[in-house]
Amino acid sequence: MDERLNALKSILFALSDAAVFLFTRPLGILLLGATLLLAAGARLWSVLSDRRLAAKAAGEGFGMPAAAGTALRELVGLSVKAAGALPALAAIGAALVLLVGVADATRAVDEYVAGRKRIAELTATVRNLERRYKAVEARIDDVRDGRIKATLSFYDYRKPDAAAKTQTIDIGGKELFIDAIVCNFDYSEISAGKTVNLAIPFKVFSDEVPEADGVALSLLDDKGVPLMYRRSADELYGIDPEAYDARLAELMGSIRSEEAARGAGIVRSLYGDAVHRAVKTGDDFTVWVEQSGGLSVKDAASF
Amino acid sequence: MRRQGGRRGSPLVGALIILASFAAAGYFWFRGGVSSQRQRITYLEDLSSRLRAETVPLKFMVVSRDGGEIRARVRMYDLAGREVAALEKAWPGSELYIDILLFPIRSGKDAGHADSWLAFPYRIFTDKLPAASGSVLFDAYDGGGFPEVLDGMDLSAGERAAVISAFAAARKSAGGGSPATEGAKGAFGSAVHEVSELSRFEVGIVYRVVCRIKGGVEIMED
Repeated sequence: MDERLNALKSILFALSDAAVFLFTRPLGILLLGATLLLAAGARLWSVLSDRRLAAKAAGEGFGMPAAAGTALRELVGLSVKAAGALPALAAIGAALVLLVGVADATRAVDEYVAGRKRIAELTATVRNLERRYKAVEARIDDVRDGRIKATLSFYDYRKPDAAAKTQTIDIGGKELFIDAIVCNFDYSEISAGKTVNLAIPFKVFSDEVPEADGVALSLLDDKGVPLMYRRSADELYGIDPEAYDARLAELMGSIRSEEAARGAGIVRSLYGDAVHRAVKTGDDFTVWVEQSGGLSVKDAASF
Repeated sequence: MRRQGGRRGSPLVGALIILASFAAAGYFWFRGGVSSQRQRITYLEDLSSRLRAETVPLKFMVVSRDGGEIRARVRMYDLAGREVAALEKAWPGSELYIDILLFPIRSGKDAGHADSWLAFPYRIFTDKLPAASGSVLFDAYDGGGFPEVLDGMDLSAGERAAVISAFAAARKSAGGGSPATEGAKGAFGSAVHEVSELSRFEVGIVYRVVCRIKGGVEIMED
């Protein structure tokens, strides 16, 4: 059905393009005029030849005045015939205008349909790129005597309303660093909504306490899978819990091994990112995983 | 005397005229729809490109790892890709941290939310060297108050002054680890680094630090 419709459209567009070319483009008008002149010239030539032969057969002369008169009569005759054909020509003109209109409207409909598809694709792309999900929420409980006391809440992007786990920390310093492994996937995967960039917070340190002496975040289970990504059987739909666990462990394996990740061919970058801020008592900020890549920090009040 | 039942137009012609008028109106309305659709597509394409927009203010290469030290060469670039500063140094530790300070830019329409971020290379430290003892990079690309990593952009005098002011506020808030000043409210640091359990930066390989307009920072092999 589509093939037939496309074939019909091709014919329609070809006829329309030909009509537009012949009647609106200078070259087309020139070609059309030249063809008409050629046809009129051939007609005159034919009539004059016939008359010359008839005059010769009758033993009469066929001079220039006679030829001019014959040509003039023929031209007038042609004009009269053309005038007589005006209604038909007008009908053909109207049909051509209709044809061009229908072709133009068909093209516009095609463009509109293609435009809708393109808008849907771009909207999905932009939505997926604009998306961010909450990874960590930090509440600074107390900053005193060069020590920071804070409560960190860790979130699962699929359940953003409630923290998957909470941990309190107490560390020396003025700037709080929240360190995470970040896995950014290929833009094609993100844009298409096939996956989301991941961040696994694993340590907290400060401007005065180096990472090596920082506080480890106990967020991994015995298989090395972050607790925040785990699901109970009741929460899983369309995949059995064992398959889900296996898939998750495989994904985490990719995250922990750059070679495996690159082998999977979908990871754009894999690295550590310690986002940080100088803090004071009462501060409340959130670490977001940006789907355009990397982490960002925003005041909780901004959202 | 008035003629009764005067000559009336054919109802068919009237109907045709009305039909043609509707068809013409529908056609022009439809063309208008297609035109606004084109504008929306252009907007979405621009937005999609903007979300992917990135700058590379810094590249680095680990030169060696000896005796519990990492020696690295760091080069900083302006927006046109011209090198503006270079540094080679050894730091104690096994994991290198490249710290970038992200300064929020708020548009007038929605002043509460940052819609893009300026990225200033901040400092370098390691897993063994506390950030407070790291090598601060601001001076390396400070060209009379203007951050040379943002050179190469066509800025008006007002915009240039705003960047200078942002850089000064960023430096002030970064210095001494004090909480962000009002001018730098929302600024944060992003110290991207290697993770020993994953893989280390390979000696002799150049890596670039990619800063996204939405605030994310990434390390990618050059």
